[in-house]
Amino acid sequence: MTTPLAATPAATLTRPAAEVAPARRPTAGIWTNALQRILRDRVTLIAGAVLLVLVLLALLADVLADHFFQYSFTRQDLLNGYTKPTVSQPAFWFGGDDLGRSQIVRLLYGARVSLAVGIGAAFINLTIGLALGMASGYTRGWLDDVVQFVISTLNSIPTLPLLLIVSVLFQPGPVTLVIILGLLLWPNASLFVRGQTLSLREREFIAAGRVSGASDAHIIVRHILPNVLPLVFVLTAIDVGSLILIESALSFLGLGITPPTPSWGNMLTNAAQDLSRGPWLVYAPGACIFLTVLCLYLVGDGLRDALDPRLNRS
Amino acid sequence: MQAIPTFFGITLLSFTVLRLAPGDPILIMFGAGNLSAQDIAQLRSAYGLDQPLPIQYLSWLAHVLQGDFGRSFLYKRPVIEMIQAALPNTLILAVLALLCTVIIGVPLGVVAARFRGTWVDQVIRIFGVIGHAIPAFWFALLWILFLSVQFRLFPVGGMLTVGKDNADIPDRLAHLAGPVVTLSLAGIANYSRYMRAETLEVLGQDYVRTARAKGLRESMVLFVHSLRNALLPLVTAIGTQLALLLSGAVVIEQVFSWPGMGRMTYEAARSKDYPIVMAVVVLTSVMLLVSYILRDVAYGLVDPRVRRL
Repeated sequence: MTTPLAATPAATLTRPAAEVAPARRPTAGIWTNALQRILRDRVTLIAGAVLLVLVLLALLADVLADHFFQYSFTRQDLLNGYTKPTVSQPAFWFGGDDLGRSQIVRLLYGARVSLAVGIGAAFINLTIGLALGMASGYTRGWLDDVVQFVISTLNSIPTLPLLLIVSVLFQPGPVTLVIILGLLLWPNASLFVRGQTLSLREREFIAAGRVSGASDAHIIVRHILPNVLPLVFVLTAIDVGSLILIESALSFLGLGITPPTPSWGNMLTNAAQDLSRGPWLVYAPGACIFLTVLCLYLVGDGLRDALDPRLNRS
Repeated sequence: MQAIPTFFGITLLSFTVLRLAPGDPILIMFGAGNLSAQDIAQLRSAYGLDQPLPIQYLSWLAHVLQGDFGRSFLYKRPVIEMIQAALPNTLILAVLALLCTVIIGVPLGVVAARFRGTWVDQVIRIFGVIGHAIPAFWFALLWILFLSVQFRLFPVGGMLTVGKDNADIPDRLAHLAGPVVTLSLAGIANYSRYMRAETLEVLGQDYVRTARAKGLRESMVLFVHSLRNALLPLVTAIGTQLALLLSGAVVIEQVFSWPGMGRMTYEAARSKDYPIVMAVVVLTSVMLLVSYILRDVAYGLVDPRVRRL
């Protein structure tokens, strides 16, 4: 019998039986293995470190703006627009925009918005995707039919036009945007989880659970969930990345996060208005989006390689 | 035949979303200022907006099924006419971008698989991740900033230089370059990643070992035996991608001021010109559905293993 990834069938057996069974060889679990593999994977480590720094900077945006740059993100200086990047004044390291606002301080607050929207929406996506994916994959039957119908409908509507309409209609603030993105973009996660669940439910340890009288809910929560979890981590990293891309595109079009709240996307809208006067305004916000998404994808790839049990053999 | 309920799902969803919209279409069409309450009531009944929602949905659906998407609120022209004007522009972009994607992306993936683990593979994989993660509109802005503004190699946007002849091919191509490159970037990245994985899988199959054992040249093995089988899922994916591209690249068309479907949809959405947006969503969804059906049929035709299931 194959050893399941995290939950052992022994957990469902009664205590005496476990005592009779020969003592288990202490083997490294999937998480320990994965951790070891990630520690050897330089690309993933660097990408993870960059993300960590970005999150810290975003969290510390207030402190940095008040004490280090001494320039609030709303402060304008209309007479001194398009300040060139300069080393002498920290607030204008990355230059100033058309309204004389500090680019670097706005980037910090933009990081906060972009990361929060990405993470928040991904949380909703994965909660829905995980719940529906496991439930529909495990029970099959009518629930599966309904969920698959909803998914195929949502997947048949091109994403961006749909988001355009919805954002025009609801003129979202950051919170509404998180909810909209969260409620519309879960099908992908759900399909992956469902696929995994479908193959898990045919495995021996699930059958053993069912035979020993475990309820469906118990099997899903204690045996399916721990085995789907590695996949969920991979999906999360990639989902946050693509959500940040979508949010920035929407904000760039003026339909996502709208000024005065700075987001990397709407900072580029401003920059695009006069490319030749302030080319430096184009570089930084786009580079921030690119770097964040790149690191998220790299971490996602690294996690997938580290957690994929099929690679254990090599 | 799952497509039929899905079609109704799509139409129902887009209809509901648009009817939930805040803002009265009558006021948007005619302006709030110079209308009496009586005028508004008359206009509402003239446009059928006083009917119950289910009736409105059914009558809208009946028209849609006959290819009648109504008139634009803003331009007062039939929606279908406006789509006919914008579609060819998007079609050029879509077809060229798809060609670039396939011509560049597929060989890249195969080459990466062939030289697995070497620096060639590494470079192609890095390009794959970068192409995936770079925001298209930022790339477009950089293109304009460097190639158009600074070095003046390419035009800033639009389809033709003002005053130039419609048949001026070099001018047209110069205008196409930016949008096409930007549009194919993500696709190239996708296809190369995909082809790499697919080719690696095929290369592990027994018949490839047989081909090698026969003493075939590696290039024969790669292109005749492996590629044919690795391409199969790809060919079926192209239809889907074309359908998606036809809804227009909203952001890229906007940055390059390209008068295609994406820009039209965006501007219609911003000015709450519902009939246009509805038409685009419904048409694209139908094209997507058709491409899904074609994909399933094609799979069955080409791969006998699928038919057995």
